[in-house]
Amino acid sequence: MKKFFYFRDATNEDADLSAAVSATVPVENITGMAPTATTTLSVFFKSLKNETLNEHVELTITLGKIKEVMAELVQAMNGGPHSDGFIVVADNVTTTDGASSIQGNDQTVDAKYLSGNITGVSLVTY
Amino acid sequence: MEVKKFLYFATQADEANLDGPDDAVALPADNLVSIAPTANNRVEMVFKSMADNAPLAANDSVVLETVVGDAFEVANALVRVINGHPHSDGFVTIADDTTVQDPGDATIAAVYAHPSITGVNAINVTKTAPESADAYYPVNMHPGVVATAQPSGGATLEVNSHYNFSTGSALAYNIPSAAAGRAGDWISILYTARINNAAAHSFTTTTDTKYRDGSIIRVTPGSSARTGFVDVSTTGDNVLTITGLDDGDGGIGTRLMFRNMTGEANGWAVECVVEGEDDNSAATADTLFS
Repeated sequence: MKKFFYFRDATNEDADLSAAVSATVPVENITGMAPTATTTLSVFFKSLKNETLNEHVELTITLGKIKEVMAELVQAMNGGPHSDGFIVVADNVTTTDGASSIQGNDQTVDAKYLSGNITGVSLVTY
Repeated sequence: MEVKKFLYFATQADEANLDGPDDAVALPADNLVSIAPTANNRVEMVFKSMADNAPLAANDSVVLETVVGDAFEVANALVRVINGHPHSDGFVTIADDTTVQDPGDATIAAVYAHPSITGVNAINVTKTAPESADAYYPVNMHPGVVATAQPSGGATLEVNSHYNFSTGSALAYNIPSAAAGRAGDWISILYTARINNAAAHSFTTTTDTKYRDGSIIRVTPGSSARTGFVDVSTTGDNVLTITGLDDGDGGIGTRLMFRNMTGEANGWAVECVVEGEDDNSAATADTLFS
């Protein structure tokens, strides 16, 4: 099974407009994880456009939980063999968009995070 | 299903100091390139670059402190650990120097995958700056490419296109957004006719605020007052203008070579070579970046 990590950095679906906002990435393309601040964990993956620099997402995490979140991400990659392979790591959306969309327009939904230690996400895609 | 293993390293004693890739990192075991000693008490693990996707990007490495004389045993142990525990969750701590938790400052034990590993000497994770891309994307003409028809003034030039320009009257063109394209995109222009006297041909990065610093206009020397000229772009230069001049700038053979170096904002580099007209004796006047 091919597993994919999903990240979305928008609080309203109407802002979900580009790869700078949301991306679904094969876990096999993840090239490493490292902190960039005490509460920021960067997850690097191969360049979306095959350019010279890889892209990364920055997860906002609880202070002191860098190693734990890394371990949780690896567990998610390797766990749930009977899942559909789509793993939401961080989705900041709390407001839906589109009257004919599956979730309807301007409905309030919960943001979704893989771990209680993840509290937000921003994408650094080029 | 094959378990995707990540190897964890941390080199800070206090968890409060884990704030950069040189402090802690988890790297895929699949990206391990080699294990070799660098001293009689150090073993280096080399990995494919985490952040750099360039063809010849420098590899990353983690240098482990080891018991003197145990390089063989450490290499053997690392391979055993990488291949062991097929039913694990895939997260493998190779060396974790952290002994102070944060927050709270509770004491915790350092963790090493083998007794002969005694610490992490260094985590060397490099992120090559976009400037390094220059070596991969030469700025040049594209002979052999069928020329695209010269568009009307005001048009935005198409990436990955070569143009032969044959219109002498004043024209203004736009260069597309560098971020909307990708690193390596190019545009080249060859003048097959001269630019009329006093007519300006301009090329503007309308989305980007500048060409890459260090872009070049060069005018080769001719005779008399035409002693040659060079203009190198600096911050804020987003317009390249060639102004036709009798006996001066804008002769047949003038050429512009644009290359998107980064795929990011302000990524367009350009080299412009201006040939002389007629007697090739008039000094360059209004050919420049601005």
